[in-house]
Amino acid sequence: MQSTRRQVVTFDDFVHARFAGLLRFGRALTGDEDRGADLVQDALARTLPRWDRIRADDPEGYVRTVMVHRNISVWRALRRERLTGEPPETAVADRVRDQALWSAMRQLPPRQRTVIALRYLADQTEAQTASLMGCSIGTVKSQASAAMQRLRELLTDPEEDR
Amino acid sequence: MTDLETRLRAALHDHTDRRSVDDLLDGVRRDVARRRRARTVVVVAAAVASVALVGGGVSWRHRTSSPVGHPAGVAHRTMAISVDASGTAFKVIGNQGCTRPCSTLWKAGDAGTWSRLATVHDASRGARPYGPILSLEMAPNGDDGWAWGSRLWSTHDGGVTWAAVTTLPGGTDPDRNDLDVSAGPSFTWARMARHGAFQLWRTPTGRDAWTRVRVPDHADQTIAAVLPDSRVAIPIRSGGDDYQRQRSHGSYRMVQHYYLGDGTGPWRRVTVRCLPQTAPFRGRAQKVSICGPGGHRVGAGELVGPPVTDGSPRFRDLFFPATSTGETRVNPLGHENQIHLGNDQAFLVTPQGAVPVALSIAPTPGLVDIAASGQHLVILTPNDQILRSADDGRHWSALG
Repeated sequence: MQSTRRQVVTFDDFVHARFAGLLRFGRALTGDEDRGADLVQDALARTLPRWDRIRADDPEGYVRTVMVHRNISVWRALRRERLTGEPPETAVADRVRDQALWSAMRQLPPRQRTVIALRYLADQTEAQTASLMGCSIGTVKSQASAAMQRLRELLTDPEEDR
Repeated sequence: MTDLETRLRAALHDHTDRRSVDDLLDGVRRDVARRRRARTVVVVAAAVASVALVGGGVSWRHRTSSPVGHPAGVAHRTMAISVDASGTAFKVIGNQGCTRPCSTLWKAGDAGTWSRLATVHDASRGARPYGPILSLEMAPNGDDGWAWGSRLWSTHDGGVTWAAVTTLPGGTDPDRNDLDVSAGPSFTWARMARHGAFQLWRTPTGRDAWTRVRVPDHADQTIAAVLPDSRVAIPIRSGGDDYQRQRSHGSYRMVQHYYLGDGTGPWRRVTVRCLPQTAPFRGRAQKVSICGPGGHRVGAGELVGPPVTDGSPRFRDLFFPATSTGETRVNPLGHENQIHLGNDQAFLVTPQGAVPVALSIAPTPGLVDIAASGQHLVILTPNDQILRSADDGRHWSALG
């Protein structure tokens, strides 16, 4: 029983310790708080069964890798609907948020949003971003350029900023 | 750094909404349990074709589900469904009509009317909003079944009476021991994590006489799928279902290796190489690579992913229309068919092709749970609607 407890506690400790960072990363990848949290949950559910194998080898990197790939490829097909009969504890309007920017982020294709998240949140180099996404450095550069161009367009055109 | 870059960094590093990490961990563990079932379809596909012990007319009854799931905090909603070989549907509802934590179990026969079978209480894990039962597995005979969540219960009279199982190690606390139960016609299997290792147990369906089964080295701790002949399939830890890095170019692929056996003889190794899920890409001509439950790939437009299998059938490319939004959702059903739930139309995808089907409900963004037994299928939508099909998914009716 001891090792089982140790495994569970270690995984739980990891999630507790990295919860905020993973939520930010999920939000950046999806452009949305709820979908980002769902993406985190999905990635962690794929991590837990393999915890014994990866916990000593950069588990956060593994989770982030799964999040990136799931978000780009299959996640959109599997996103869950959030059902709740209760209002949020904190009114969103109370928060100081760059809503226009997030709205623009949500209009980016997943790959462009992923590049933005990896470059400006995770501070990954272009090479690291390319490796994580499984593409060339040139693709990362072109995706980043297109993403920034699109963000500029959306942020200067309020009609498109839904 | 430009103004936009500064603004981006500030927004990306801004605080996220406040969320409960414990709720998320609960959801993670529920997803792990559900995902085991999703993968079993692939196992059966390979096993049915490669081992040739199961002849034509195979019906496989293990349910599967897309990882939609209910979020934590949903009371009075259906948490799990099951179906027996006669088509009788079963469901579990959390905390309905009780003042302390409970789950109510219901069944619907041919007439489609739900009748209440039993109420199960368990306050040992506190007042969870979804009740003590999260999963339900009824055997093909409809008499025997197992329900688990905060602990494990069994019934041998069609769900009228339920008793807590104490003969199975960890049965008093299966939630923490990562339990899953899969019922076959002859034997029912239980998989659990115990002392940090995977344990496999089985009992004759109809009894709770559990005995431990030796598992091969490197058997994973995730799933144990049951074939129609009651054999079980277990993923192999080394090289099992996982993201494997292609170091030469930094990409990842999913490879699945499984052990297949009945626990009394040698275990056979089967392999499947493809994604068991959809992989939608942007654009109207979607690229989809799916390891379908029948061992074939299903796609529209260009197919991606390695089409090689070891011992499993050759992949065939099937095509179905892309949805108007550029997204696709395919959920595995029985041993051959898949239901494709688009935003504007549902399709039944079979080895012969795809045909539109009417679900008699509004298009749904996914499924909470699926159960199958032979030709009989039931699905639970995120809107808490339950649909039943008696012909392998071709026609559906809502269970009220």
